[in-house]
Amino acid sequence: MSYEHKSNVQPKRIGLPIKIVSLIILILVVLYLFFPTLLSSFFTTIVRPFWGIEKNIKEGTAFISPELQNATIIELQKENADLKKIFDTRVSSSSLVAYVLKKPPFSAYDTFIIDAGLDSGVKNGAKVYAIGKVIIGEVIDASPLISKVKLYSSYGEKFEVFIGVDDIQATATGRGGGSFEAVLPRDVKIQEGDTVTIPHLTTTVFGIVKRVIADPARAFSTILFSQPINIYEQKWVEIDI
Amino acid sequence: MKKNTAKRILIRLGAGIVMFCCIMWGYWWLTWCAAIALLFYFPVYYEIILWGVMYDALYGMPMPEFWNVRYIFTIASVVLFLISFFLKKRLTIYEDRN
Repeated sequence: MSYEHKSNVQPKRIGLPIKIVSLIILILVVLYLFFPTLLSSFFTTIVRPFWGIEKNIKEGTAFISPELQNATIIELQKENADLKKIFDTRVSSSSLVAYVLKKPPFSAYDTFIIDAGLDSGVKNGAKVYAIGKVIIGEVIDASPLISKVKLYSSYGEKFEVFIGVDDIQATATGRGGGSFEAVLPRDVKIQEGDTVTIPHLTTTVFGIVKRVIADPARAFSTILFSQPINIYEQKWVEIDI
Repeated sequence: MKKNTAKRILIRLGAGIVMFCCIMWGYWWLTWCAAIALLFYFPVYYEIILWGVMYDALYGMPMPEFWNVRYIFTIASVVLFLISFFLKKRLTIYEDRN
């Protein structure tokens, strides 16, 4: 049996990749602490021209074929009709219309990325509405050119609502994709089709009750409601500035 | 030898461009499946940390179920990198490369 001499025993060293990753983490921590918006602004500036491609392609002049021309005309007419709807039912005179650059499921969270930011007068906390004056969320991060809108239906989000004809107050919890749930005592008179509104906001209907799950063994019933619009189809939103 | 190095660089650049496009235009789950696949394809894939930082910079927001931490993908990418680093040392398929 042979034994390694102590001088021949190499101490375990931290690998180079670990050192590099530690350095990267340190740099990121410093950046996030002292310059929290630097990285967001930097990447947004790089990516924004690419996000706007699908919107700008309609304005292109190099049409290849009559079929493409016709399809583009139909698309432009649809866009015109959507914009007219928004302008006919504006929430207030000081609102701004913005194009939705990214929406679920292309983003990991229930958020919209819109092409209006601080330069256009958008501020954090501004309410965001879809067509028909339906409030869908609020701005949580406004950078100079774009803003992130957190939808009220984001999973886990809680807020107060009034449900039904009697305006029964309840706490709604977002379930994602424009769906919500609220828990109320089993005896309350809530039916499918009842409307849901938000206190302190003079807007139209926020949601419609889709299902009431009442388990006889439980003292509470679960109210499932969803918004009257499909958030996955929204192309334009209105921001109350 | 030089051709192999050039080929590897080109593959890595191509993978970077694909990931950039996925982050901008792709589904989030597809982007991260591709990132994890590339993490195990390349011996040391530092770029996954860049993709995590970029994803949080573009889409990140505080989530109640993640203790209102905004940098979930950055943390996840660092953790994935470290896990892959230690796993590769123990997997025989990477022995030739090491």
